[in-house]
Order: sequence, then C-alpha cells, then structure tokens
Amino acid sequence: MRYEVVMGLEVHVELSTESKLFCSCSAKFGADPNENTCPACVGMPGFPPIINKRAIELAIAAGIVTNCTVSDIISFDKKNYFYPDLPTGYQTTQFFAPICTDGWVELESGKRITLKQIHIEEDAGKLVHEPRSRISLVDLNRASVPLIEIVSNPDFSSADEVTEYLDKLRLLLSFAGVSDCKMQEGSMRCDINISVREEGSKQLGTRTEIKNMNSLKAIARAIEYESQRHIDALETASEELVQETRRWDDDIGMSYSMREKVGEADYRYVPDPDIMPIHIGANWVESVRESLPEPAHEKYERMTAELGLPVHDSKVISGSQTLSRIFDEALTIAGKAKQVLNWIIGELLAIAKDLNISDDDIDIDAAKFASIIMLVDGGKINRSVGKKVLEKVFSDDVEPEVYIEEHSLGMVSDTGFLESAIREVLAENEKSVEEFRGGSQKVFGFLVGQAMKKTAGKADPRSVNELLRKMLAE
Amino acid sequence: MPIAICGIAIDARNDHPFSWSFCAKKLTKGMVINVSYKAIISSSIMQKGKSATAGSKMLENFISPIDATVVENIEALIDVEIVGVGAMDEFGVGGLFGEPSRALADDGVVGIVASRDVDFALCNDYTGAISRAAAQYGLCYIHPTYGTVSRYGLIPAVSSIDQIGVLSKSPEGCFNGLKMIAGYNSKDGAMPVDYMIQAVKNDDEMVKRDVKDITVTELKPKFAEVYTQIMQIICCAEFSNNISRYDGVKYGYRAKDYNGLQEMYMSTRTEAFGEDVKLAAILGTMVLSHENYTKLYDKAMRLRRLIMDSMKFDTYDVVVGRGDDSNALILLSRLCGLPSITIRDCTYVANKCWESTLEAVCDMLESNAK
Ligand SMILES: [Zn+2]
Repeated sequence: MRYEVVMGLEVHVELSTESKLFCSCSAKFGADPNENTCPACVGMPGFPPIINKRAIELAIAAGIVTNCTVSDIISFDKKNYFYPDLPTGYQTTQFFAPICTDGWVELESGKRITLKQIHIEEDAGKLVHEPRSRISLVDLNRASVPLIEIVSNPDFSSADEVTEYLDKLRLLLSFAGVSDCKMQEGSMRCDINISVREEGSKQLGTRTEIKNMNSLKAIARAIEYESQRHIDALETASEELVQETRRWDDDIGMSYSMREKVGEADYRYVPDPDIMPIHIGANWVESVRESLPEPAHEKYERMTAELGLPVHDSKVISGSQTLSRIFDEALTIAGKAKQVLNWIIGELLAIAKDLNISDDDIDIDAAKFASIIMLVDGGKINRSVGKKVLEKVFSDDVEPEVYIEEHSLGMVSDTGFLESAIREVLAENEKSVEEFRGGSQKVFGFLVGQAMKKTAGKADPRSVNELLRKMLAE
Repeated sequence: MPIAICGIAIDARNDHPFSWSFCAKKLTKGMVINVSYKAIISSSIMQKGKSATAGSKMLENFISPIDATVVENIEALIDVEIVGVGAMDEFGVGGLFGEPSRALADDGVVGIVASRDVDFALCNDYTGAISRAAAQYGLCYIHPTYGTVSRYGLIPAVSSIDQIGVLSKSPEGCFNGLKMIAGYNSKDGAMPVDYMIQAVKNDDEMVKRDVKDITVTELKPKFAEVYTQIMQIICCAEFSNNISRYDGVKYGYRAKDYNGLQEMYMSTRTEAFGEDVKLAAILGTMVLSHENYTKLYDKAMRLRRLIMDSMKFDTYDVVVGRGDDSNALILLSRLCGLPSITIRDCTYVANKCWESTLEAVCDMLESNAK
C-alpha cells in the first residue's frame, strides 16, 4: 500500500511593532521578566483596549505579499480560557471577521500553497517552572504583543514543501517589514496539522496537530516521525490514531500526546464589545502597498538582469532584508554596484562571520560603509586600511574620515617618504637583497611586506611594488 | 404597551445632532463654576492610590494605579469635590436579578444621595436597577449616550452597555454632573469618534434650545416584552468575560489553601465571588457555550440589532413612558446605547447625542407638571 501525507500549517508571526497591541509597553525581546508590563497588559480592570494602528498596517502588508484579499471591515473577538499566562482570561483574536482571506505563496516548483486566512491576535505571557522549589513564575512581557496567524489549507505533501514554504514566508514577511521572523527567538513558530491517507484517496485520514515548532530542522524530523507513526498505525493497527494535539521532543526524536481531547475545549468565541469594528477600505490598503519595499525576487531580478551582477552574490544579498537595505543605501551614495557588492560579500560578511553575527543582524550605518568604499576607490586609503576602518565602524560606529585622520591612515603617495622607507628596509635586510639578486623571486614579497610595515600599512602597495623593483635594480 | 411619544418641532430640526455633553472640554482646570457641588463616586470608579473594590471581596485589597477620567474631570474643577465613595452591589450585577440592595443601604450610592448633603453620585447603572430604585427614593438618574463618558478607570461589567451616569436629587443635578464628565477621551477605544467630532465642531451652539409646538404620538417599541431576557443574556455573557481576569494570579484575592492550579482558581473564585456574580458567570458561560451560542446569545444580539434599527427618531424626538413603560424604556436605552433620564416614575429617551433635547423637554414637561 502506498500512502501520502497531507499537511496544513498555522504559522504565528510576531509583528514588528514598537509597542504592544493595546498599550504603550515595548514589544521588544530580551527584557527582564515583567519589565515590559503595565496595569493594562497585566489585566487590571479599568483599561479599555485601544488598538495599535501599526499592527493593523503590518497585517495588511502581510496580506498583500501573500496575495490575500484584505477585508473591508474587520472586528475582534474574545477566545476564553483560563491559564496564568493569559492575564484577562481571554485572548483577543479575530474569529468572525479576519483581516485577510484567500491568498497563496508560490514554491520553486510552481506549486501554490493556498492560504485560508490571516488574522491578528495577542500573544500570551509565559510560565517559568522552577522544579526545585516546585513553584511556577509568570512573565507577562510577551502578553498582548501583536501576532498574526497565517492559516494555510491542507496543501502540503512533504516536509520539503513545508520548509520551503516557511523560508519563503520568512523572506516575504521580513522584506515587507512585517516581522523579523526569527524562529530561534520565537517570533515565528508554527503548528502542523498532519494526516496520512492511501494514495489517490479523497478522504482525509485522522488528523493530529504538532504544536509550537520553531526550527526548520526539527520540523522536518517531526513530520518524518509523525507521518511514519500514522502509516505504522494504519498498516499494523499497532495503535489507534486519535485526533489530538501532540508535542514534539526534538532531543528524543518523538512526538507525544498532550492529553488534551480536542473536542472538549470550548473557547466560547464572542465578539469583543470593547473594540469597535474597523473600516479598512481600499485607500488604506493602497497606501500600505505603496510603502512596501521591493520584494526579494524583484530585487534579485534587478541585480542580475539590470545591474549585471553575479547570480550567486545577488542571491545572497536579495535573500536578506538587512543586506538588501545596506546594498541599496550604499549604492545610492557610492554608485558602482560591483564595488558595493564586493565589499559586502568580501569584507562585511567576513567581519560578521568572525563575530558570529548572522546576516540579518548586521547593524551598520550604510552611509559610513559607502564612504569607506569611496575612500578606497578614490585612492585616499588602501584596501587593507579600508577593511580595518570597516571593522572599527562595525564595532564602535566611528566616523571613517575622522578615524582615518586621527590615526593618520591616509594613503602615502609621497615618493620621497616611500623611497627613504624602502632604503631603510634594504639596509636592514642585506641578506634578502643578495638572495633576490641571486635570482630568488620569493624574497621580493617579503621585502614588500617589510616596506608596508615601515609605512604602517598606509602606502599604496602598487607604488611600493614598483619603487622596490626599481631600487633593487639599481 | 402604550408609550407616549413627544414629537417635538424644534426650530433647528435639521441640524446635525449635537450635544453639549461634549463641551465638558470647556470646563478646564481651575475654572470656577457658579455653584459648589459635593459628589460621591461608586466603588467601581478608580481613584489613584485608593481602594476600588466594585463591592467585591475579590478586589478588597486592590489599590488603583490610576485616576479614572471622570475623577480627573471632576478634580479639575474648583468648587466641585469628591467627598466619598458609595457602596454598590458586587460589580453591580445583582440588578439583573432583583433590587440593588447594597446600593440602597445607608452607605450605598442611592442611600447617600437620598439622605445626605451630597449633590450627585457617579455610577454605572448598566442594568437599570439604580434608575428604578432612584424612582422610589425620589431621585433622578441620567444614563448618557453610550461612549460619551470615558470608561477609562471604570471597573468593567458589561462592556457594550457600561457607561458612567449621574444620580442626583433633581434633573438639573443630573445634567450638571454630566456636563462635568462627558467628552471625548483617547483612552477609551469605544468612544464613537465620528459624531463626537461633529459635536465638538458645533459646540458654540452650547445653548439650551427652546421647545415649541409639542405633538404627541404613540409608539410601541418592538420586542419590549423580551427586553428583560435579552438584557440577561447579553449582560451575563459579557459579564462572564469581564470577570475572568479575576483568577488570583496577579492581584486581588487569592485563596489561602489550594493544591495545584485548578484548585487555586476554583477556591479563589468560590471564596471571593458572591451568589449573584456566580449566577451571572454561570449563565454567561452557558449562553456562550457551543451548544447555546446560536440559540441564545446570537439570537439576543440579533434582536438587539432589530430594536436599535427600529428606533428611528424620525417622526419624534423623545420617547416618554411612565410606570411599567418607564422600566421598559430604561432597558431600551441600555440595549441601544441611547441617552435616557429617569425622573421619579417617568423615563425619557432621546436619540444618540441628543441630551440637549432631552434636557429641554424635561425642563418643560417638569415645569408644566408643577
Ligand atoms: Zn502594557
């Protein structure tokens, strides 16, 4: 018997707003427990919710880049359940009138994954369990942080499709500024609905849901395991499949039941009377559309076709929202696409790699980056000094011109100064000079190095080269 | 049910609806008004650094971190003073099932205004029980247009009805109190900005209009026989949502003895909530449950919409009712978010934001009655 896997995804993405959905608390990661809280987001009475307009704009942007229809009028609803990380006892979400419906994301193969809807909701806080003292602590920093949930139809048939889709989604959303989509920080996570059926069958099999996945590798492993578990159950009747929610343990490589019977949960969805329905309208959608930056695939096209840049490097740049931005800004200032590209690929990424910083986390002033490129290009400093200055800009955000001036790193082209430096080198290295004259080309490089050192790296290596040859020939 | 309608031809009948209630923004800090007032607030209105219990054991240790907007409004005025806090029934919910006995006690909001030297009380009579009780004590209560008084700092009960109103010895006291607290406030997202802006534009017309040529017709409000049931379904549903935040986790009462999380929730809520609150919460949970949502909650909401749509105020400006009709009009104004004033056994209801007309009509009819 041959089987096929049928999967649907619910992807949660945290929106890149400054503040939370209903209060002015910061929505940023990394604060101390409960630092980003106020009476409103810890659920005290007396604070009617005021919705964050930016969150709605970002959700509209998400709908635009995933080819959804943006609703004209949206409203919010309450989903009721008790848990200590949910301060009000209900989650504000969109059950009856979600902001976006009916979209799609296209995979490399041309297959379209269709989307059912995108809705806005608030995140919950988190519980920290301390097993030794047997107490649990509540951290409400994430409570009321705005999320969107992107619900796909059951269109996936392999783990590869799932991971490709998630990668595509990450790219689309991070380019549009909707979210930074960092799985490791939890700003993008997904629930996978999975079932298995006989190939060709129209009927869907029993469905299980694996919750809260936040690594592509773990997702692939979990799908592999869970689909095999379904197949085994169908073939050998080793266990009875039940519709349930499961958790994936990546360390032991198994999924296990969360012992929640799906049918029993009654969230008592009800329209939220505290939030008036919001009219979005075509004009608002258009203004969001106009404010969106160039999407990744268009940028790639422009880099390769229009600017004639190499395919591989263009892919690296267009695959990262941060690198794209740096590239565009530096290009506007410095011109010369090829140089800018080489500086990013050759130098900037090398520095970032040494410091263990991922492409998207590179934080550098593109104007300063551009000015270094122009200084090297204009012969004001040599490339290795340029690289040094770039490191300084990277670590201390120094002003390149000022730094070069203060450390007298400007390129020395004064022939008299170079000549005397080389003369000193020749005098100090008589043995090498003799070897060179005896026919050893090897020592030439050594002598160039010594001369560069003498000028503290400020000389133009080409001039040193020429001058040295001339003087050795004398 | 016979209801008397006063169709009133006012000089500027075709003007945009406007309401002086928005002109509260003109009463700025330090402004002296002619009369001095002593006011009290109910314990569901929050004052910074003071206890705000809403009559519940659940909040007996709750100290408010903020001043409610209405408290700020009052405190900005010279010669108006908040002299105390009046007791209320737990979250005011008892009014759904009977008399608001706690509010009627000597230290309750109704008791204090009736028997002491206090000019008015601010409270949220979302069930209509305070208005009905006021009648027995010879008092008046104005329930303003939904969304015209900020609910920032009001402990919520039924969000789609919650609205701070004014209890006073006379209609004049009600209207004067309302003028002090009404007005747009950005901290309450349910304030209807559109017609607020319209109203503020027109606030130079802050004059009481003359009422002439009263004509009276009769109106039978739709579905009046089921107002009580609709109120109970909607109020219990929203109430059960609003009190789910009281779980003993973050603030407020927490049971002393419990074993595990479920028991903490159960003991906390069992010990701290009174009978009416439990009844409303259970009914609310029931009407929102999967089996009953369409049968009960959704049906009640549809009826509410039909009732709202039927109140056109096209051939009449104010609806007046006495006795049983008065009680029905009290509920009508809660369900539709319309302004109403109850004066003894009479209730007057006007269209949204037409409090000025309500005032003019009351003045005239009341002076005629004398
Ligand atoms: Zn907050």
